[in-house]
Amino acid sequence: MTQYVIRRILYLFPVLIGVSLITFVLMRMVPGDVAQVALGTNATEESLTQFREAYGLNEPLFDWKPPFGQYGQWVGGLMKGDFGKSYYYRTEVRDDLAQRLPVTLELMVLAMAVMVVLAIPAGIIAGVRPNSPLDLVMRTTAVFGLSIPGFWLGTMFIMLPAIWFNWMPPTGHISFFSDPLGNLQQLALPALALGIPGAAGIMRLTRSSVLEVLRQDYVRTAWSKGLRERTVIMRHVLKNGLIPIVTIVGLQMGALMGGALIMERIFSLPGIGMFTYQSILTRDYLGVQAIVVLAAVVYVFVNLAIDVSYAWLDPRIRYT
Amino acid sequence: MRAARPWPLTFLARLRHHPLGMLGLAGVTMFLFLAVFGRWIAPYSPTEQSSALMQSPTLTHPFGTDTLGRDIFSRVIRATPIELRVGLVSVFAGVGLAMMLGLVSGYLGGAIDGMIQRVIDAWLAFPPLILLLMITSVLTPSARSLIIALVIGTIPGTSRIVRGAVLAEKNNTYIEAARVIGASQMRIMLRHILPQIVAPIIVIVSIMIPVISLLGAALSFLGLGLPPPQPSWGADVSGEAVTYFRNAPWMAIFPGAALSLYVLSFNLLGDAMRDIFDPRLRGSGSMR
Repeated sequence: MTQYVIRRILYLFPVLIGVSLITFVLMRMVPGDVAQVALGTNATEESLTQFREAYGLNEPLFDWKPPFGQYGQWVGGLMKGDFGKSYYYRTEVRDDLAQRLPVTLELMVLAMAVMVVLAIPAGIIAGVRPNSPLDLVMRTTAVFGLSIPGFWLGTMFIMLPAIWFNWMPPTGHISFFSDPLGNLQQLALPALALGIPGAAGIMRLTRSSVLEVLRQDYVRTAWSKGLRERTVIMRHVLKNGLIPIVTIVGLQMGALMGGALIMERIFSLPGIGMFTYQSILTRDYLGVQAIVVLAAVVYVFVNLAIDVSYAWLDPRIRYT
Repeated sequence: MRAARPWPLTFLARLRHHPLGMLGLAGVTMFLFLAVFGRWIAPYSPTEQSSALMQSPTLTHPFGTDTLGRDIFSRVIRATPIELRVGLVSVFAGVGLAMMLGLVSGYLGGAIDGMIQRVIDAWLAFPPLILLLMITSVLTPSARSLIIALVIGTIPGTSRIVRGAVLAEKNNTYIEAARVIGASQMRIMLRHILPQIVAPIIVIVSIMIPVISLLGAALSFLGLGLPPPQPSWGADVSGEAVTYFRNAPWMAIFPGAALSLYVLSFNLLGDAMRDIFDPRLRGSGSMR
């Protein structure tokens, strides 16, 4: 098991090299000059040259000799925990991330909570009584949930309360620790809009997973032992039915990050999604590179956690 | 042996027992109809400006007008062909390429498989929306650029699923038999394995059409998909529709509602297709 985990962590390196190279090359193909975007259209030729010199933009992208071009310097910086400096805001990318990460993380955690709280009980109820009226209602709701675009749902969530009750969530960022109520007022709607489409998918998966497990022999045994329905469902069905659900919750991390970007834009939240979006628009390479590398690290570890949790949920699964 | 009926006929015959699937088919047919005949149905040109700015829905403007006085009803209808084209072309091209990649990777195995899979690992490690935003910002905004981005977004996950299906298939004795009688690698892949994985591929297509349509609309919403003044269900929900929502909520409501209905139709049809083509799930509910 330990060996397996170590091998999987070593996988991180080819993934990181691939991801960072793709981002590095792709971002430099974006038409438009970084210096021009950063300094504005009125900048003189002299100040542009100076800017490129100061940020090392004149150096070759790749080089065999130290300092190995712009890519090598950036990787070298990463090793020391230095993400470089934003061309546009002239701030340290690391500080930007530290400031914005909590907003996005909280949004994502709340959205996940929405998903799990709505989807898993609904999926179990629907799966235990297939084709009952309750099942039909839940499945229909789920198809609708899957079909509504997140950005439209978010827009409606900000529009309708404003029109009906003249209420809008507070803008700017309110920290949970200084004002928990204000913080939740701000994040409840975006988290709901972000969680609902995911919840629909997870509900359907939970339902089919429960249906599948209910047919297994050990469930029949549990029934014939005379266990209560509650015990059969919670102990036998749910635990075994959880495997595909864990996978999908983990795989939705990437989609959730994209969704968070959209919600941050709609609700004007200063998270890393908005930061990425602005960095792409302003050709702020280093910001985008930092986010993508961070996301890739999270992706690799989440996938590892999923695989390890399989072994815990189902002891028959062994890794060597 | 009885001659096999072509699968679309079998499919339609089975679909009759899926009320929600039929509803989805009706919705998809309606959007196809609007895509072809929309130009004669829409009362105005989608880009024609007028002095009737931000008018609420009336008989002359059923969905109201926007900040430039354009008729929203006409814009919603005239967006249909481009949305359908972007969605369908992206999914078919993406799944087609993913199929080839998955087939080669899964069947050949070994070093080639290892290399392809490491590339896919990196590809999948990108949050999808961020990768697509990066790609569309490199290209000039157009329907073609959007399609390229969406194809790139479709390939990695799909090719993994295809590879899995190929791996499950390739150790069967009939493959061994084909190899023994001297069939070439190419022939085995295309004539023996490919027909066996058609069912999962149809299921993937039915899942991907709504997913990719939503992703494409999200890119348009963020201003990096279909460029203005092209009517687009995604882009028309953003910008001034949000700025002036207190005065003219219909600007954001109708294009989004049309997109929801479109995705819903494909989802309902896709659920029925999954039920019909994926035998493992059969019998677990008539309208899943």
